[in-house]
This record gives sequence, structure tokens and C-alpha cells, in this order.
Amino acid sequence: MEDIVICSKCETPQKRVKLKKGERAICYYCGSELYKYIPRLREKILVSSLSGFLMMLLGLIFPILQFNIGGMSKDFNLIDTIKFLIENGYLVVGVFTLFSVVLFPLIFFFLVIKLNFLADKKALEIITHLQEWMAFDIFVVGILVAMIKIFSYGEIMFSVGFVGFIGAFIALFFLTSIVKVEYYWELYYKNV
Amino acid sequence: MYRRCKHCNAVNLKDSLHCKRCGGELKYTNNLSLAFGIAGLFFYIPANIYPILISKKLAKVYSSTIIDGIFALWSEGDYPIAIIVFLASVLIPLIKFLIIFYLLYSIKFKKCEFYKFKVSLYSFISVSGHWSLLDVFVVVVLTGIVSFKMMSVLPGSGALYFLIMVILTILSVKYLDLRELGEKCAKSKES
Repeated sequence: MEDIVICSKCETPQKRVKLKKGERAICYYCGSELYKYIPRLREKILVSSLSGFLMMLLGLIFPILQFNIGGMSKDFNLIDTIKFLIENGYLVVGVFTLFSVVLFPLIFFFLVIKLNFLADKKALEIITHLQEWMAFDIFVVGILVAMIKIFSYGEIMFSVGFVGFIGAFIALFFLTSIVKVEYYWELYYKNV
Repeated sequence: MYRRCKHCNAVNLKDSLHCKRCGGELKYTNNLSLAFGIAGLFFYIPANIYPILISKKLAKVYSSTIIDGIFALWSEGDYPIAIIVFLASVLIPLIKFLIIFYLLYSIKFKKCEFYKFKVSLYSFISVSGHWSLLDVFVVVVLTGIVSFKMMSVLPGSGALYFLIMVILTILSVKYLDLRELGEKCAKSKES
């Protein structure tokens, strides 16, 4: 069964072929992409996961934005906001944000880093199921929309944390959208 | 003969109960998808009726629903953002429910016509599902930024209903198994 691939769009089984640099395999029935050749994938995954993890820590430790209005100033920090939500009775919203925006992406980055040094089937299983519950990218877009909403009321200044969030956003985009979950299995499962 | 694991895309024998690679379940779970879809639809109504955002300015309290927020953005001239919020928070959730029920109907009654279109619809709801969370996160960010003694923003009860609705639709899409229709249609293609 190792030489068979099933199209994820139309469920048509077909023979797996070995690809060269720049090539991608296409389903003969529906034309959607089956898999592609990504050169130096292991190195790219290691670099993205390490930088993503560090950038995310930066975004969580330092304030993301500073909002000035009528002589008052307020730093926006995600952890403080989640703490505020939980303490003020918005438990579901606070806990969901904590898991989908902070904990799951951090665990994901950590496990991908770990795979590079110690391949572990459990880690691969967690990565597989964790991806659908991460909402970090949407949260970053949410920051931008919120900024536009309050833009006319006061002055908004970017802080160090914002740079961290953007960096983590780019790394996570590569690790979840470009590198599909089956690539992790194909790359690391044989080492388990 | 073969069945694809929808979690890790590994090729398994059709009779297997669990994926040989990631251990994920291989059986179809469309009944569960229907249950989550119906539950999510119930929460769509309070999510749009109750205020998603409560703003306090001195002694005055203002509350606004999703629709109010879109109208406010539109009246201030932020047309692209108003359109994005309208799409992500109002239109896409509604279209998603329609697509989920249409696909479940097609699977149940083996409707193989427009199969490629149905696959595209499934891809659309898989990708767009999480983006409905945008409004909830905008409220979370505003709560964090606008938090002064004289002025503050807090999530309204609509935000909770909206979040529950999005989680239920994500679960509904997760358990919606188009492979069942794909295999049925592949059989009819062969015969």
C-alpha cells in the first residue's frame, strides 16, 4: 500500500510516483494536487518551528499594541486579556482563546521542534489532531480588524509583541498550510 | 478496496477500523455531523439577536449586535472591513449550514451528480469554518485594548452563543465524511 495514494478530493486511488525538484503530483481524475516536492523540507521545518516558537514567546511576553486616548494609555497583552476574561466571568471565551491561540500553537511548535531531534509517534498523532483547533492566524487578523475599529478614537502604536505575533503567524502558515500533515508522517514516521 | 484516513491521508484496507499510521477512526461519522449541525443552527439565532459587544462610557452602557457593528463600520466608510465582517460572521455561517445539510442529504441518498462541485463545497466549508471566529477574537482584542476606568469594552452574551455556534459547526464539518459519497460514486463510475 506504500506505493498507492488516494486523492483527498475525489477518493480515487492511484500509483505514487517519485518526484523531482519543482514537480508536483496531480490526480488524473479531478486534477487536484496530491503531493509535491519541497526541497530541504526537514531544514525548513526546523527553522520555521524554532523561529515560530521564539517569536510566539516574544508576542506573549511583551505587549502587542499600545492605545492612547484622551491622555490615558493602555498596553494590550494577550495573557493579561485572557486572565481578565476568566476572572470577570467570561470563562468560555477566555478558555477557548487560551487554548486555540496560545497553548495549541505553542504545543504544536514544541512538538515539531521535538520531531527533528526525537521522532515520536505520539507527537505525530498530536500534531495531526491539533491543527484543526488552532486559530492563531484568525486572531492576528482579529487584531488588525480591531485596530481599524478604534483607529479614529485614539492613537495606536505597535509594540514588540506585534512583531513576534507576525513572525509566529508566518511560521505557522508555512508549517500548517504549505507542509501538509502527511508530510510530517512521511518525513518522521520512518525514524520512530 | 482501500480507504483513506481523513486525518493523516494514509492508505488503509477498507475493512480496517483504525488507521494503521495515526490510529484515527476510519468509520463514517455523518450522523454525528448532522447532530452537531442542527445544534449549531440553534445557536445561530441567539448569536445574531443578543449583543456581541457591550461598551461602557462614563455612566452610559451601549450594546451592539453583529449587525449593528457592520452598520457602524459601513457608516464610518470602512467598507472593506464591513464586508469582511459581514461575510465572516453572518453570511458564511449561514451558507455553511446550508452546505452541511446539502452534503449530508447527498451522502444519505447517494446523489452522485455534481460530485466535483460537492467536493469544492466541502473544501470551502473546511477552510472557511475557523474564519467565523474572527468576530469573537475582535471582541477579545477590543476588551484587552479598551479597558480604562471611564471607558471599557466587554463581550456580550451574543459572543458566547456565537463562539458555541462556531465550535459546533467546526465539529459538524470535522465529522462530515465525504469519503462515503466518494466511494459510492466511484462504485457507480466503475459499474
